[in-house]
Amino acid sequence: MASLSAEGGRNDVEAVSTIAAPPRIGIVLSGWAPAMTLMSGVMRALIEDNIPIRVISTSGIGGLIGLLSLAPRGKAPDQALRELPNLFVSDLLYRFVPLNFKVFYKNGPFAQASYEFREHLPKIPVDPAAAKPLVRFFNDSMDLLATVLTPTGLESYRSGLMSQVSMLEDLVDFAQLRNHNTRFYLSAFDLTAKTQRIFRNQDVGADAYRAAQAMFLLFPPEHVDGHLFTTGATHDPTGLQAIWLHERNKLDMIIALDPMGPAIWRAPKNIHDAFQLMLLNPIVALQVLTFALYANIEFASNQLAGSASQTSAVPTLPKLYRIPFDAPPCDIPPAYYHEMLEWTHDNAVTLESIGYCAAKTFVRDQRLVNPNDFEMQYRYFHRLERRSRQFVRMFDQLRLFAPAFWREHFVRHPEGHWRPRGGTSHASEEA
Amino acid sequence: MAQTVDWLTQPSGKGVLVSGGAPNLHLAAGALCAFYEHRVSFDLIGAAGAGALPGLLYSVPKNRDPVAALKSTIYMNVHDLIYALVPDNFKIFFKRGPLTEPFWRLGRLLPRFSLTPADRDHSSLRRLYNDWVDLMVAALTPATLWYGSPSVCTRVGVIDDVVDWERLHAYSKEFYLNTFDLGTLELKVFDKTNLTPESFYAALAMPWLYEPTIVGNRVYTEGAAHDPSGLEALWNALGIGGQGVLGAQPKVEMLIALDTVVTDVWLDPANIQEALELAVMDPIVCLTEYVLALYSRLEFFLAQTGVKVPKIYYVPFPIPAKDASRILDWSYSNAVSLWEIGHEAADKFCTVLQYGNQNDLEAYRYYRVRRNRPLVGDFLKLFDDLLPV
Repeated sequence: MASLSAEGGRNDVEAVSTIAAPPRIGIVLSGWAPAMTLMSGVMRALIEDNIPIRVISTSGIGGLIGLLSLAPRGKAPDQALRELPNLFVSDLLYRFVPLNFKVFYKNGPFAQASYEFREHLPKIPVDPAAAKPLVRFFNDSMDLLATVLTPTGLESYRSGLMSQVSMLEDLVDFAQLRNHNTRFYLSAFDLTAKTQRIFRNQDVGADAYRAAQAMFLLFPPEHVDGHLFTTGATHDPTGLQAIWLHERNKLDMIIALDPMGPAIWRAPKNIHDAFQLMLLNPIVALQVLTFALYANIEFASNQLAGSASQTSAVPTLPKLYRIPFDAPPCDIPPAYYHEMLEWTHDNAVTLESIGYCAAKTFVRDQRLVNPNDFEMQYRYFHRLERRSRQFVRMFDQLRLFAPAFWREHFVRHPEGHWRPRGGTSHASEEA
Repeated sequence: MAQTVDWLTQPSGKGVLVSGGAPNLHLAAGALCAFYEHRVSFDLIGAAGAGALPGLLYSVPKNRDPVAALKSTIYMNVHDLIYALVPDNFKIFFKRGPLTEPFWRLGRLLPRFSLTPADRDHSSLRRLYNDWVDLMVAALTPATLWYGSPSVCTRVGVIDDVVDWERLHAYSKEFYLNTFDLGTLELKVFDKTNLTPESFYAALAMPWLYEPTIVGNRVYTEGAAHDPSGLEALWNALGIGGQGVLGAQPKVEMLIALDTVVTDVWLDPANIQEALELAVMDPIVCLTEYVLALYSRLEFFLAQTGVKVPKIYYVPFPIPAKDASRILDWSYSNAVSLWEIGHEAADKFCTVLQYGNQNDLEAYRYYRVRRNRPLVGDFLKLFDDLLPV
């Protein structure tokens, strides 16, 4: 495999035949909001190492990380990503108010006014990575005071706990995104058409972003183009759907972050933690199982394509790789899982450093490690965790992932249909 | 009686999937009641989450009358007048606290009206009284919920009043319910030999509502978040794995999947409680759709080749617009509506099953019915490289 960062000017539709050419890389970003700095740490490392990323496909909070990586307003991507820990709450203050009142605004007609008011409050500048407990306590106390003073509009008939504000417009330059060479995808679920909609560079704006974040309960559904939307993360929490729908044969490699299922599938430490686990438990399950299915399918289809003749070439999915968070020294120890859903500054910095370290190691190993070893260590297919292996066993028994089986026993006709060899069923052959 | 035993105990070649999700409780209860009335039995029942209760009532109700037991599920919901004031099901969800169980038991000593299935249309005042008593008991029950609590609810023995656990062990067919082992991080399937009230509660221990439940020396949480369809729950029993797919002799020829409903009526939530329920159900129902759609596509393909795997059929629950907006309510009127919808849908399906021809039945084939839904169609495109359309 060629180095990730080798320069190359290949067109997207070129075949993957030049060994020295760099792989065409995409990345999928999706995760839990409190752990968003895992993603920003990874992106910072990839940007720093000049990894050319052709596609960023996102769902949920991954959308924010993707947008900041491509089109931050008035800043370089690295700087915009580095500043994310400042969206988290002072550890000292969080002990008393375990909520992120800096990101989430009480539902009501005054949310936007509250946001604008807070932007004018005096704050002491602080480096995003610096602990500075007293400075953070002071700064965040100002925000907390503003939150407390904001009248709530939450009545029993309202459909969300929070309101969305114009924070994103201040962080992202959508005009820059429209002209960016990297293809960007953001998924949201269209309640009107009852299907997933994947927004692209040209049609992602603040409204589409808000739609993609509108998780039931947290935010009311959002209108875009006359349709009502909720988050796409509850239907595709991986970001992979855009890949299999729009990027077949256009990419060689898709990088995913470790979904960290074990960090969510655990006993809660308090009622707030339990509430977050309730919301995340099925989403992470869907995420893990979708990754597992994709990993098996791409492995099988790439095997099939690898052994097919030129005339019977099979369209392939990009190979799926995982940046793991369980390999020392860039690992998240199980004892830390309880902390990962905390909106504290310390957690943000910790996770960012782990994401950064894991991505750096991934890039280094891709350059230095034997390709076979790299495949075994990072190819998603080779690193399925227990629950995924248990799940795919059903479809494995039905031989979904066995291309040799299909070719041995079935013939694929030119029109695309498969038939048993000889035109008779296996049941009758066996009889 | 002998006839009843015959159709219940003889192999039917059918399995049923009763998935999770609160609204499915009454829909599934109505549907399973119709199956029972049509004398359709299931060799395998795969249940997840709230689907376990109607599955057990179909199999081993305490009163030994599945039809009456399934018809009586509607009484678990709250009188509409009370629900309008207190939109919560205090008859199912009990406050967290050490005194909840004793208060519930004391409350049972209070006089109440006994209701039978025949009373469903003529019992408003009696239900109002019964539910008012339950509301008072719930209100008086002290709660110890605080920030450090692991859940908001406490279990009480409601299920023991309606399910005959002893008889389950001798049930002539198979029953499977999934849960999730927090130690191994894998699904664990309980069957009729080891399903107890504790394992039942473990399977329904959704985070926040209930804390993880210990069975034996293992800690479990709900299985419906990981296998909401119930397909994995009964997978081993299907008998596909042992001989390899070409030589498979599955235990059943037909799997019947009951509609998961919410995908068709995804709503703009009307209030914060509905938003909460949707937040939880949204990914669960989506996973159900994806897994069953993938299986349906595979079996549809394999059936063309002559490979024997169970065909999967879909019993749709058509929710009228007037009911769609309140599908997540715990009101009595909603329970009756959903129950009737489930019953009528399964009644039609059973009529086709028993008296229709193969073409009529094919109209219920899961892949034929669901593949053209945009959500399902987009998901199935992942497998285009390996499977024919």
